[in-house]
Formats: sequence, structure tokens, C-alpha cells
Amino acid sequence: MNPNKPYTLITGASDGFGKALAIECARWKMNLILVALPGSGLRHLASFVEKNFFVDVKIFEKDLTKETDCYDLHLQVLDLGLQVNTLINNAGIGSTKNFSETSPRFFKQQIKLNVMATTLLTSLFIPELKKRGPSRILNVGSLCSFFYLPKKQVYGATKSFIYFFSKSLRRELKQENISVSVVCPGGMNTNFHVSLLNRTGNFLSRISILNPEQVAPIVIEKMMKGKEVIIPGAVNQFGMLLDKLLPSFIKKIFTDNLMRDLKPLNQPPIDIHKDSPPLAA
Amino acid sequence: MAAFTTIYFTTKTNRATNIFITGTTGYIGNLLALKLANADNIVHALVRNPGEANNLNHPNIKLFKGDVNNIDSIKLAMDGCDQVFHLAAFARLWARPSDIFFKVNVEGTKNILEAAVEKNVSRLVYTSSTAVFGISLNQPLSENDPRTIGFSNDYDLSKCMAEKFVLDYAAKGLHALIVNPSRVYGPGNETFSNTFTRLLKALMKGKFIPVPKCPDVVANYSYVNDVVEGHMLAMKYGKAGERYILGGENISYRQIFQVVREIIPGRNAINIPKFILKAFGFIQLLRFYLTKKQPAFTPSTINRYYTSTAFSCQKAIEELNYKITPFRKGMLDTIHYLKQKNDEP
Repeated sequence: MNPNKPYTLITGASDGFGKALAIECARWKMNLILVALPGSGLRHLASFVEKNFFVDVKIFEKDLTKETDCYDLHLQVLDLGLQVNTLINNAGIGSTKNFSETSPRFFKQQIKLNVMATTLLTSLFIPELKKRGPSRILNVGSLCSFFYLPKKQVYGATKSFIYFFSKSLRRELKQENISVSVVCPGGMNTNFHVSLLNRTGNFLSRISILNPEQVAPIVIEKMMKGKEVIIPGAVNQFGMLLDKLLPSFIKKIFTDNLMRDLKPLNQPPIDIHKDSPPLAA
Repeated sequence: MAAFTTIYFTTKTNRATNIFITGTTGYIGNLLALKLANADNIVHALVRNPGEANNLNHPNIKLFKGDVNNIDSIKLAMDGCDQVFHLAAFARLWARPSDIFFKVNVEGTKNILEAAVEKNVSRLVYTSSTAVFGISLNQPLSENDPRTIGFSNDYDLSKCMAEKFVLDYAAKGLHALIVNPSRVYGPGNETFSNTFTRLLKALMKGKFIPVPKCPDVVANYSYVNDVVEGHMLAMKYGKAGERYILGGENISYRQIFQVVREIIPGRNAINIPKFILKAFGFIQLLRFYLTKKQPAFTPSTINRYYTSTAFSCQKAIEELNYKITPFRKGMLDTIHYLKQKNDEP
């Protein structure tokens, strides 16, 4: 354990994809700064990672939908003298409902977290990243920013923002020795709610589902290699290829079919349409 | 004070504890029901088919026909009970449609909890599984460690969701807690969960058995008698809202065979590489889609036999006074038991 080594900051690290990224980074022997909501079990995750990988783990319980929490996080990291050379903006809220059924409170939170927190934290940490080059920013987008799926309106739009933001920023920061990557994962079995929902898709959407522990090693390796856009999974890559080749009316039939069956199981024992839980990517 | 003591002791001595239990035709549940009955408790066993529950013949065991998905039958059977053991589960690696996992394991558990609140039982022990913890990395897992793999497996997901319900009810004031047995071995009913006995019997008959080709992968093996005892200890000493891993030693496939070969010599265990087992799983899956014959395993469900799942039972040892039978002793006892049973006419 060497606290003088630089740290990797991961937001939304308590569960799902963020947790898998944290474990994979620890496997790469990176020290970690893990950020997640209060009461999300970060302390247990931190002691687990320290026990298994002998890296230093700092935790911050923050609600990143609040701008003040973003600023606090940055200041506290500086106060502790932690040197950050990798920023992973993973925290995000997904959506599963039609727009007409979505409350303004919900999509405001979603935009604040997916767009504002990512942009703000990137802006705050760029000075530290410049000091510690070569350094990296990894933003978590989504495959759905390429396919205009129903029930993903606001979510897909926020992820399109992430995609554009990352690719554009990459060109600016190249000279500064900061590599910006964006990962666009498809469906993953992250937490209870998402895993349950993933089971209700049709055959094609089900075989595209990956597990976070399969995706994270691919992503971190490609991030370390400085890859611009990371699309994990053969089915997803094939989907992207089809996207480039197929005419749009066929794609529409295809994606309609993909979303049609996506509904909760007959009697969902847990309300998977709950408004608030932050879902990773 | 004197009056209180009198009442306390009369209830203690004159009235046996009424205990409601599910899953009594299963591996652990059957042994637990008999042990509770032998300890002079009145056992209320919820069974789907009383005619088939012939190994529950005991003057202290009352059979109630019912189902975890029928809350009225649960309430009827739970009437007058002070304690609840809920072991019934749909324990398979794979099933389609997968709804059955959620119907039995999640909704069934919710029904039991609901009935327990209504019947005002004083303690409830829910039997989960170490499957909820996923895999271990470099250190054995304990109760607070996070799951590091996704929920691709329906059984794992359903058991996690059921645990969540138990913890929710515990937070609301029900004295409910969770035990998580690991891979259980030892004498008992030969159900789906008793894989070990099936494999041992095959070995004794000289049949070839498949063994994952990863001799150093470690898993936790618990002796069934320890797990049964652990359930009773959890009922007695367990704290509400807590989980307790009921396991045994962490040992590798190699170490298992070292012990087994002391008594059953031979070379009839074939090491199977993962890709071959995956291919078999794939063929079974194809066959399922063509003929609807249920596969024994699928490509995704065999991963667990090729990854380490080591656990620490320190919490149960410290807080419940749980005891572990050394693997060698437990294994030798099991083999002797099977041999004896084999020699009976």
C-alpha cells in the first residue's frame, strides 16, 4: 500500500458497473477514491478492496446531483493532498419509462447527475490531471446514444452529451497529456432492478447483456491504452456495425422490436419503476 | 417477581415450543425438522404433498398441506407457533421461464414474513445461501463483503431479493435474521442440493464422474450436521437483521480428492476443462429450445465451479458459537455412512 502513488477517482462506485471498475482498477494496483451516495455501503467496499488488493482506498459519500457536493468533493480531495491522475465519471441515472410517465423531479435529477456532475467534476479536476500527466479521463456513455430508443429519451440524450463532450474534449486535452476515453456499454446486469428488467427483453437484447465483471477489465485495459471510444461485447460491436450499414427504416423496425418486450416480469416483487435509485449507466 | 418466575418456568417446562418450518422435504430442512422434533418441540411442517413426506414420520411433527405461494395455508400452519424456519426454495441452477425463481423464492419469502408478522412469532430464521455473495477474490469472503459479480444467475438474484425483504421486515421490528450455508455435504436426503452425495455414490460404484479441471480452485464445504446445528444456534443467539455464513473449511478440488481417495481408490474422476463443459451446456440449451427438456446446466451457470468461493465463518463462530467439523472427518463419516447404507439389504 503506497498512498504516494496517484489515485483513480470513480463516481457511482458503490454498485453495478462502478463497483466493477473499482475492483478492476485495484487489480491494476491503482489507489482509489470512491464516491457514492451516503448509506450505499462504500465503507464495506473500501475495506474489501484494501484487504484483497493492498491499495489505498479513500471514500467520499456525496450526492453529486448537488453542485455543492461536487465542489466539496474536489476541495476535500485537495485538502487530503491526494494526487489524482485518473478520473472516471461513472455515476448516472438510467430510465425505464415513457416520457409522459416521468416526473420533472426525476429527469432534472438525471440531467444534473449525468450531465452536470460529469462536466463539473471534469472541469474541477483537469488542473490536477495536468500536473500528473500522463493522465486519463474515462466517461461512461451508453450504446443507446446511437439508437434512438423509446423509454430512453432523456437518458439517451444525456449520454449523447457525454459522447460529444468526451470526443471534443479529447482533441483539446491531447497536448496536455490527458487521454479522454468514452465507454458505450450495452445492457449489463448491474443491480437488482436492472438485472430483473434485463430478463424481460427479447432474445437479441438478452444475448447482448453482459456482466459488469466481464466489461470492466476490457474497459480499463482500453482506457490505459488511450482508446477513444470503447464498445465492449461482440454483440454490441456487431450492432454498431449494422447501425452503419443498415438503412434507417430497417433500424427502426429492429429497435422497435428490441424495446417492445422490455417490461417488468409478471409480478415484480420489487417496484422496478421506482423513481429515485441511481442506476449505473 | 416470584409470580413471573413461576409463569416463566411453567411455560418453559410444560409447553413445548411450536416451530413452523418450510422445506422439510429438502436436504437441510428434513434433518432440521427431525432434530427439532427429537428435542421435544412441536414442529409444524408446511408441505406441498403430505403423502410424499414419509421421512417426516415423528410424533412431534405435524404436517400441514400448503405452499409458500398460498398465504392462507401458511397462516393456518403457523398458528400458535413461536418460531419460524423458512428453508423452502426453488434451488436449481437454471429454469425457463425464470419466473419460478422469483415466485417461489421472493414472493414465497414475502408471504412467510407477512404471516410471521400477523401471527406475532417471536423469531424467524431465513435460509439463504452463500451464492448471494458471488465469488471470492484473494481473501475469503465475510458477511459485509460486497458481491463483485453481476446477477446473471436467476437463483442468486432471487435469493438476494428475498434477503432484502427479510432485512426490511427486520428493520420494521420483526426478529428476523439470515443464515447463508455454503456447499453442503454429508448424510441426508438425496435432493438436487445434495450434489456431493450423488457424486460420491457414483465414485463408489466405479462410475466416471466429471470434475472441473482447476485443481486449485477453492470452495467452502459445510458438513450438513454443522449447518443444521447452526440453524438452531441462529434461532437461539442470532441478532435481528444480521446475516451469518454457515460454512466449513475452504479447500480445493485437489484436497477433496486426497481425502476421498483414502477410502475410495480408483481413477474414475475425469478432469474436464471449462470450454468442454461450456460446450455441453450449450448443447443442452439448444436441446431445451428444441425439445423443452430441462438442461442440467448451461454455459453461464458452470462458471461458479471454476472460480473460487472461499468464505469465513468467523462471525457465526463468535456470535452463535457455531462449530465446524473438519472436512476430513466429515468426509470420512459421509463415506462410511454411504457404504453402510449400501451394504444394507
